[in-house]
Amino acid sequence: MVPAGNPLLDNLRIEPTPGATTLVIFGASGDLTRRKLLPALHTLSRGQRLPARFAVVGIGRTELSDDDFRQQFRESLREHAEVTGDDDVVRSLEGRLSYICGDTGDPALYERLAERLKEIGGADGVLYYLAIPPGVYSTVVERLGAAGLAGTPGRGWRRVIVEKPFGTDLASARALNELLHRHFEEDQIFRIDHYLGKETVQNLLVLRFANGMFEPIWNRRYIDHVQITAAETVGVEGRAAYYEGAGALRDMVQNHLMQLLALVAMEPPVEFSAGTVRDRKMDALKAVQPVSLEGENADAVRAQYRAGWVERREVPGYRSEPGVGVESTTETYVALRLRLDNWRWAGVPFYLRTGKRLPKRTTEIAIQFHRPPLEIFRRVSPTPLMSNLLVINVQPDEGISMRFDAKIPGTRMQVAPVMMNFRYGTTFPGEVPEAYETLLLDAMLGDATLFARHDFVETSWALVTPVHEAWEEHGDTSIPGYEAGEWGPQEADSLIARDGRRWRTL
Amino acid sequence: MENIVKTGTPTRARAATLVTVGPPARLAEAAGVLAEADEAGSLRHVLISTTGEDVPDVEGLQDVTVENVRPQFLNNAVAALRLSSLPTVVWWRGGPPDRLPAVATLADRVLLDAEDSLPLWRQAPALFGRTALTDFRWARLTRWRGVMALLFDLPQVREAAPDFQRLRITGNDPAQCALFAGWLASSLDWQGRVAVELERAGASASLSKVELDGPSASLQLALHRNGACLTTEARVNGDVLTSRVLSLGSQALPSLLSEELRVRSRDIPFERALQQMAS
Ligand SMILES: NC(=O)c1ccc[n+]([C@@H]2O[C@H](COP(=O)([O-])OP(=O)(O)OC[C@H]3O[C@@H](n4cnc5c(N)ncnc54)[C@H](OP(=O)(O)O)[C@@H]3O)[C@@H](O)[C@H]2O)c1
Repeated sequence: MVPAGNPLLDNLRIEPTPGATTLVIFGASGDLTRRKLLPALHTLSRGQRLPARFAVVGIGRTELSDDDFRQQFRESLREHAEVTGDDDVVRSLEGRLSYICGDTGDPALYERLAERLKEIGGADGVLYYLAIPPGVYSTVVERLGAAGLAGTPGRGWRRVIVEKPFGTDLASARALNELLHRHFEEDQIFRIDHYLGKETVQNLLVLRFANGMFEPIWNRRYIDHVQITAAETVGVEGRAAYYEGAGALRDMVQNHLMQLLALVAMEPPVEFSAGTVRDRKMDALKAVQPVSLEGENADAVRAQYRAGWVERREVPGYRSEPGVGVESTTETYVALRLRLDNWRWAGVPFYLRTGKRLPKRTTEIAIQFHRPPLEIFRRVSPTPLMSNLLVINVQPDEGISMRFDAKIPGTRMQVAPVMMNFRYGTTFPGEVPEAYETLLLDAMLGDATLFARHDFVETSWALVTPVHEAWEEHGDTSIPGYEAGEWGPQEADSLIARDGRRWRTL
Repeated sequence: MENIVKTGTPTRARAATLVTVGPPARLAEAAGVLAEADEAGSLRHVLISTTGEDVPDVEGLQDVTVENVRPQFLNNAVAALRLSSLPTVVWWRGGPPDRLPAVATLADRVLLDAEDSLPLWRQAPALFGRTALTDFRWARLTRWRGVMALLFDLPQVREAAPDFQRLRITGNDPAQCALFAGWLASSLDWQGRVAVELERAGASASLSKVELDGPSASLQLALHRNGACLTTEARVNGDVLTSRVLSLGSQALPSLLSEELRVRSRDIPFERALQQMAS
């Protein structure tokens, strides 16, 4: 009998490394592989987080030899990880890379892959990474299944990482889940939402559930409302072909913002395990009520950026971007007001907004507390009192800030709001892992906590799809606009102002 | 705009008080290390010298410097200078070993870093329940341990492990070599079954090779000729199961210190390794 656990891992500062793994990247000649995956593998290798027996098989249509693929690895490290040297770690990892050229629709490709896995010693773990256009996901999944490469062999495992976007609406997401489930069990499927790999997002769980002081006030009795913002300064950046078919609602809200909302709103899990954490997130998502789209009082606003000034330069409007139609109504901004019907959150609105070409790149969650029931300083303090605020900065400048009132020093009783800031960068200097490092490693370890489950994805699409369809049906060629470099359209301000509130100025 | 009082330069969050204790020459070296360590900016620094010479001034680093503290009052100095609102980390770079317990009980964590570790290690077991102890000799072993653990991820190696007969460790720091042996012996529960040979080699590396052999398997970790990597090899039944070159990571004092300052909890394998050495 082989002892099951590794006796030397006990309390080892270097965290557990996965068992023998072969990473098969479909789309190895693509942008994601170059920009994110290969640099992430290098960092993991440097930190000794890769298993002793590790190999990468890249697959793409571009004709590349193994050496060309290794060359691409070096280039990607140079361009995207600032690794220029030729150290032993690079050489050792490079020796584990190989490439198969082929079309994902060709069954012969899978025979060659099976052979390659056998040569490598394929009885152990195989992780398929679908870094390919979403239109090709189904072909690969079906062909892997048909070739007998999806099932879990006696010893070892087979897992698949599916990139975003996971479907374009509820029906397509369901169809993709069904297809995946025909060939893979749910615990073999890892749906990427790279926001979940971010350090602060994980810290949100720690903030809420490792501290005794927040949870008792984390509810409708103390919280007035929640604002979740994901603002980008970039425009469509040459990705018009993709973005025209997506828009902000499907590109950002359905996945990233819904994940953040669920982490804020979830009940405490009884343990930190993939199943329980994801169950509780699912409960929270189920409490979200359908978005009202009724005329003036609609709870969803969309808009598109017009020409303006952002990032210290003048920029064109969305419709003038290369690849975008002059009559495009694709939204580059969305604001939503969501209602959660459960005991914790009844009556506490969650306002979500996301947009491109906004003044700042920032993602944050702001928890706004009720004002004190009695404002005893109103007469003495010249400034109006502000309510307490807890802000979780997701990016950049990850950290947590708290706003409370303090007395201004002096003989008079004057009150002013102050911020207490915790910044990751100052308290924990050193490198924060990139989301893709965390997620690749977790998938190799079989830990799905930071991945989206099938029911979450579908429920989230069920919330978002009617909104998108209503906008489509509208058939309007006009869409509200906002100037590039301002904080979204008037309509979004009105949406929150109806409740007597306003968006935070970030 | 929201009405928020802005203070001039934002003060950096202080994560801990670092009390560095030792003779002035070792404190001067420590000050140089701190100037380069990532974590140093987030610390409140206290330097305490145990002899009469001046502690060299390092701009911007010392929040408090105390010179010429008589050894018997070391703990009083620490007691006066620690803050209850911040964790206290003591970096012990020298001083009378018999004063360690009194100082350690005032600290949340103690980083031992004396030229001679053995007298301190003899004091250490009595302190395990009271503070989180570690030693820089142990910190230098982190990568070596990680790499050895990687080999034990292989089922074939775990299967062969009960039959290992001989451990041979080569290096020029006997205490560090013995500590590595103590870690393996306690983690694998050898209870004296495996013969341990420590060979002092002339090269500059404190640890340069580890060989673990049995009838069916042999493992080898060796410092690569470039000094920055480890080569590893596992053989089972004559076949090479794995052979790799892995980064040793930075062994420079500033990065080791930064790594240690990020840890706040007890290090049980270290404690067990010391107990193993004592037994
Ligand atoms: N790039 C990012 O930062 C990013 C971020 C989030 C999510 N994603 C997602 O990641 C996936 C890949 O994105 P990407 O930006 O890397 O796309 P990309 O640059 O267009 O690369 C696509 C890759 O898929 C391969 N491919 C396409 N069709 C194929 C076929 N029929 N058979 C074999 N290989 C085929 C391409 O091979 P050839 O070029 O050799 O033909 C190429 O390697 C997409 O689902 C995208 O939504 C990307």
